[in-house]
Amino acid sequence: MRQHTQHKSTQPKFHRRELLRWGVLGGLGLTQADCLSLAQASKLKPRVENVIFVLLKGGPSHLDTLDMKPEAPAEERGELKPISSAMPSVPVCELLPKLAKILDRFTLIRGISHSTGDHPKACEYLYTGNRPTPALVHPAMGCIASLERPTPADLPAFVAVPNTDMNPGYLGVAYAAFKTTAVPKAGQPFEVRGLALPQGMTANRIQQRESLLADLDQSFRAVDSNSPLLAGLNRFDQQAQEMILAQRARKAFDISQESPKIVELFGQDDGSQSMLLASRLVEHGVRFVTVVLDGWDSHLDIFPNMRSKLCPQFDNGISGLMHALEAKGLLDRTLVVATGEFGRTPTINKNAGRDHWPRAMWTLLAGGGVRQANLVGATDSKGHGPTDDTQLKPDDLAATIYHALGIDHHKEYYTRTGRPVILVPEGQVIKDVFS
Amino acid sequence: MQKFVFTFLLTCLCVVAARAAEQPQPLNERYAPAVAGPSTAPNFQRHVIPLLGRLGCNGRSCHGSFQGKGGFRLSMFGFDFAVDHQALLAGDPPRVNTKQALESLILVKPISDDEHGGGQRFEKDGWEYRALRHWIEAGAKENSGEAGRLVKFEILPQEINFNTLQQKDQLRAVAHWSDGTVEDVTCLTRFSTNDDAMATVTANGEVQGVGRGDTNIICCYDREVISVQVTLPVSELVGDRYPTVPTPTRVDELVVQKLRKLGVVPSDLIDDATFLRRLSLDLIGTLPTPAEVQAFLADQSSDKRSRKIEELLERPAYAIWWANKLCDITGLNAPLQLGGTEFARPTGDQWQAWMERRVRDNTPYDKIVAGLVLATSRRKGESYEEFSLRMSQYVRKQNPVDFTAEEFMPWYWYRNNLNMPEEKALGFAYSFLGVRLDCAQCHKHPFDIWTQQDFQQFTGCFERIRSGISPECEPAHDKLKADLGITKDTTAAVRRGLYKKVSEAGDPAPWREIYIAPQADSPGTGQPKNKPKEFADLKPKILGDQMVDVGAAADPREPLMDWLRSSQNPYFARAWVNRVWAMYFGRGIVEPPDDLNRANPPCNQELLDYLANEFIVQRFDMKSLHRTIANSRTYQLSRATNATNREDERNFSRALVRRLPAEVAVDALMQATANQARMALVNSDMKGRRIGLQPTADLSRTEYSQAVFGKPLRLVNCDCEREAEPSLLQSIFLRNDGDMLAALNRADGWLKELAKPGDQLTNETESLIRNAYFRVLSRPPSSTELARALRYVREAETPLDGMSDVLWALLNTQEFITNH
Repeated sequence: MRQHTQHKSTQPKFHRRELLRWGVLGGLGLTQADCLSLAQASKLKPRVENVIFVLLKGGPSHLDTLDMKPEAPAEERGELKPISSAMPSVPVCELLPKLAKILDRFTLIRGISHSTGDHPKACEYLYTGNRPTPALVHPAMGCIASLERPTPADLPAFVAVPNTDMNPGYLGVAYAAFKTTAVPKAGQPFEVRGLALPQGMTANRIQQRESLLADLDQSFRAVDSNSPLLAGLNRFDQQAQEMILAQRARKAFDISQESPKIVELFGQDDGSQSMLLASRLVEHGVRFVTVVLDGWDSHLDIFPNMRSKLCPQFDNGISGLMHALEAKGLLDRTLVVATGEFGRTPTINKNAGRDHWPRAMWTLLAGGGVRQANLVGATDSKGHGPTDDTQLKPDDLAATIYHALGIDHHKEYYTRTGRPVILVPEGQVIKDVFS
Repeated sequence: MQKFVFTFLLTCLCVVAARAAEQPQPLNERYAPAVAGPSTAPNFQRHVIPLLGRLGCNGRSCHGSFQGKGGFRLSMFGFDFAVDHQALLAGDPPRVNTKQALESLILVKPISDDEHGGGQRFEKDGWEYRALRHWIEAGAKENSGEAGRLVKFEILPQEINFNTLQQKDQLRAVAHWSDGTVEDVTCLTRFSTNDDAMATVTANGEVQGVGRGDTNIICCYDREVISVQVTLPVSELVGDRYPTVPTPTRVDELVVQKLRKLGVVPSDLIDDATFLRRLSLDLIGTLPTPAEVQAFLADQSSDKRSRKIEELLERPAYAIWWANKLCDITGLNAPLQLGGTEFARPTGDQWQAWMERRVRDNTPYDKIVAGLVLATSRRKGESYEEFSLRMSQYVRKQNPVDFTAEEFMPWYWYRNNLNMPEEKALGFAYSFLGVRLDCAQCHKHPFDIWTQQDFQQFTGCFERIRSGISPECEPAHDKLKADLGITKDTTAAVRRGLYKKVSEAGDPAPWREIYIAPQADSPGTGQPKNKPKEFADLKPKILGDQMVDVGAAADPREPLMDWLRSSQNPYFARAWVNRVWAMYFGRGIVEPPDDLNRANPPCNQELLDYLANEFIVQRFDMKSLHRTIANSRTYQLSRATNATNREDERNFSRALVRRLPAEVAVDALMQATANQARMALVNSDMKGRRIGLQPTADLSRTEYSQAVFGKPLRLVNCDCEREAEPSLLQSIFLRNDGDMLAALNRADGWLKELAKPGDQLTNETESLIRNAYFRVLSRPPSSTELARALRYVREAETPLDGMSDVLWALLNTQEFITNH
């Protein structure tokens, strides 16, 4: 028996009261002082308000993009040529000319290394900063961000364009991503799942319908059942109603309302349009946006693929995004992350492709507080793995992103089984990333 | 007060008895500052480690953490005596200095004479200091083996019933050792409360009631963990003042017995419509049809509720829904878990069909579990050739042989996440014991009696279960593969395609098997990795005090299964009855329902014992268990609170509102919007029902609605993987998702049936609205509701638009999406 001070069922379960009820704190030998120190763990000052996380899904070849090794043997270096970039020490693939021109806006991290060569697991590692185990699903950073840095009710905190495998794990579905499930098309109105008004439906009819609903649910709600679940339902029903009726959410998603000046910064392809949407979403206040640029898993014919689709899409998208964020004055308060889940094998396989290579990958960071024209870490002369003094793991990348958001990556959470878990136990904020 | 005095007397008696037998004084008295040098030194296991535990030294935020603190590490929560002793005697300067005792860091640091991250833990020359000092001066011995075994640990009083706020009571802890020593160890016991808003407890075991209701005080010493229930009535209605409450069944008697102590009066009985809806959703995962509701309301007989329970137990949906639950806890996920079989899809289907048949036939629960646990793939004396042919008969396209007739279902042990013996031990304990052993994999379980040694020994029971091809079958298997033209270079896709073709033709395919290896170290999939050295020589042993030598058995699973189904087993029956109870009440008698541990006691011990014993006496009859629960008055209580039970959510004095499970929610949505023809088949045709669907490989492949409402992928050893909570996306889904609107407007839906040309309605609006109420909310509308809906339809642009909105509104009520 217990007083309800808040909607228990809709909050993640790590309030002290809740934990005590399970005997967690006592059993674990935590003192009151420890608890308070846990609670105060996250008093970091945020550097950014938003994150745009671009996943080059499938794993881009580091050797053919931003970690080229022109001196490597012919069977490894491939057919693509480097061109010079705005960072004199960093030659960039000829297929990324627009990125090359603005590379001095970024911190490029090379030589991030891990040992997970399986796509979903590598993604999970990247998203959570925790090596995946069968025992526990760790929450991904977008979910943690929506817990720690919530947004106003009429806008989702975490949006995935179009989908994501960033899962809430033990936080529960309340912190799952809002998935657009589709990619916007250039110049066309974009209506997302659940927010688009059905054909022939007017705001007026929706309001009438809502008022009918309120009346028909009245007798049920009139009964006092002191239910945390119903309290949670109330909250979410209210929020859903606001999101569907209010202009803000629909407007945030509708890229056809974007000004021509911004639109012309982007290409017509799906990737670019997704980036355009991402810039719009953070502008409207969405905390964390993931964009997936798919197709980088090139086991076959890697070079034609990179030429025809992969590189142009990324090049257009990322440069468009950077220009748009600058033009909107958002870059200072937004962290842009672009990364794959791993690199690709130095040796070109018999199908003219490259296979999975988690020993070396790169990540681009830009925006709020991130140093410009900055190179961190390195791979060896052939790009097979990190140099001896480069010790960077996905854990560190996650810690760095959390740091930017003002979330202490050592903060402790409790799983639903009462097990204490540190957010990113093995990670450290990567040195020299922030100015 | 009477109780208080009684407790006091009891305590005195104990102390007197102990003195008479020249039993040791409590440590805090023995080493009290005023007492001159006692003769016997403290014992390492009985005194030193518990003292360090009580001081918090081996907690996980201090020296118990795996990294240690300040270069000093103790085993977390104790119980690794050799390691701890070594750690204490090591260090430079030494933490324990037998030559210059007073220089020992374990004396200097905790009094804060030397810098100590943990601050001051005790007074210089206090009893803790003096006890540790005396232990050091006597040579800081480990006393290995001298302590003997803790045979009994008791806490007095066993239960505290306060009458007023701020009332206090003192707990006493008494340890009985195997050499006959009985010692008051209150000063060495760790006390904690499960809810500090109800009762607080001091480090010395003084309990105070600070809130009305009930909770437990947890007391830990050595490996033991005991809980003491503390109650403080919430109203004046206790003892003789408690009103007469009907208790038609034993379940009700036991529930009310607890409520009476708390002064909590149960809510009223629900009406027939609410009962039918609640029962249908819980028992068969299905909404009642409009016709069924009307017939039930019209039925005037007094036993109609229990007859309805009997009727639903015979429905196909009963078998499907409860097989779903059994597959949840045993972890069926074909694409992710059965890849190793090369035949993920058909084997997953076999698993599920096998389960459904058993639930339908009401096969005893223990027999179902035995069918999983004891499964080996080949029958006794069956050759590999015969086996590979037989397996293909189950999947052949023409007249497949019925797999569900097989006594054993081997695919459980195939699960990819049950490969290693440790994984098997953890999964087995979760599924069939409702026990979480994970903690004990690395350290003493903080809330239970399990030590790392217990875990390692238990794991030993699973070391010989292997999946793949047994050595004796390898030649035949290799030959079969060669005959099929499989070589090293054949890709997995080609191989699987070929196997599928061959097996579907009914010809032998290279099926893999579950088999028992002759020894733990025999090679094969599932062979244990190197164990920690200190556990290498331990014999396999079943959990608990009872020693069962599994090593001697031809099949180590047999003694394991015998232990499971024995009437003495403290977990097996309890775990299942508690899970079933939780499905009906939204909360277990032990909560969370899959976490039976000493520090998480049942809120009603007698109730859990009764249900478990009944279940065993009824030979694990699952239907009988459902009858017992569903026929109780307790199950049929209203969610409406009264003045005494408003804050009670753990003693079953009222119904808790629950969100419909993912599959049930979507099925209900589809049923409520189905046309008349489809509605008529709801209780016979199970095709397309979500309650019968297996999970997919990942959430992005799961039907959107199922993912949003939290269908579990069955990957985690936790009942909590099934989401029961509301979320924003669920609310948006029901209001406005494309799939939801498509369901409303589908070609074989009810709305389409209502539309006459020109968007007129086929029937009179009033009867349609009534029908909509029966479809969605399983009850007739009130006159106000009917009038409101009628007005809405009349004012709508077209009558069909109006009906469509009424149906939409009903589906978006909280009344629809919850079970209440």
